[in-house]
Amino acid sequence: MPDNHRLDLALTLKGKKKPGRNWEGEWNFSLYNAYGRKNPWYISFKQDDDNPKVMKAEKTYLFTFVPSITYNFKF
Amino acid sequence: MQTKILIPFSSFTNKQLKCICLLMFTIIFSSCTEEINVDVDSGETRLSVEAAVTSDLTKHHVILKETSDVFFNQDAIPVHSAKITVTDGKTTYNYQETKPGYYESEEAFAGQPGNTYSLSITNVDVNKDGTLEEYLASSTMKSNYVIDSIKMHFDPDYESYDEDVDKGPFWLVSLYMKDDIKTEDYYGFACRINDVMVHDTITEILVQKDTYFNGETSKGVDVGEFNQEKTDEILKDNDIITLETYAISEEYYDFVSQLQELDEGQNMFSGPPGNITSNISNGAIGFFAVYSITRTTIVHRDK
Repeated sequence: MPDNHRLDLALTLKGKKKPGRNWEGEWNFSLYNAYGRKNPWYISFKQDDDNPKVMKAEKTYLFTFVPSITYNFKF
Repeated sequence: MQTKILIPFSSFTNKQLKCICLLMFTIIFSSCTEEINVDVDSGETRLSVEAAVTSDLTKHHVILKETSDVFFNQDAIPVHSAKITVTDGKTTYNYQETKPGYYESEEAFAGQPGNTYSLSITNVDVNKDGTLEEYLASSTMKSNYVIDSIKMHFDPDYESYDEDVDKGPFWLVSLYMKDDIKTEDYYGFACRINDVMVHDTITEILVQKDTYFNGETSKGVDVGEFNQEKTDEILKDNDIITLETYAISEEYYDFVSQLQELDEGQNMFSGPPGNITSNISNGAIGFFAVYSITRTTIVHRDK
């Protein structure tokens, strides 16, 4: 199997406490697999459509990069 | 306490919604397969056997080849000079090599239901270790099935058993017969057009077991397909259609099912691939199939 590695990044922005408000919130921005590496989920072997004697290896990967935004609040 | 907010879609503008949908579409449907180079180790060479005895009176044959590495891109190497015999306990039939790796029985014979046939392959050294190997297999022939009748019908938008084929116009063979409630039955089906075998590879044969219709009447279940977009399957008026029904063993049913499953390829939800079962000893791959055949014919009418 080829090497499996990835980089995940996340940034959390906390809101300032405001007087009179009994809850606080924060934004979270994250990026899964930041450099978009195509890590194999599995590898399968297939015959070539034109020449069935020739075998090919094919990897299936799930995601490259996946961004997400979350807002959390506590009270 | 910590809670995540779910933002309702109604709070987005149309433009924002389009952007979100486009992003999700790109992530979900972006291509996720890619050809790669893989280094794989060489495996031990094994014997590949393709052998059958049927109820037809004919010269039966055995094909012997060597297995090869995954990326070997030549024809399979035939295995020469093997000594092959098939016996039913009373008579022994000798086989002769008539083409490289292709062995034929010296005389024509028909398998008899109830008899157990034993295959013996000797005088081969497939793994090249200097010692001759012996391969054995045996299987009992089942009685052939009684078919009441078959009918043809046309479906312009049929979804084939073969997952590689898209929906399309098909002529279908419907089967009418009663399954025996007392026995566990395994069926194989293949068709001929004007005596030319159409389903001539093992991946085209339909195999079925009677789990869901044990003792029932089949009431016209479709067991043969003719894809009208495939040149060798196009039917013309007055063509003679023959349905061959094989009374196969449970072991052969498993072998064909596993082979067809592997041939379809893997997907995300498949389990890990495994070796296909075999009834041949000493680590050989392939199968010694013993089955009786029932043939049912019908004249095709285009209307």
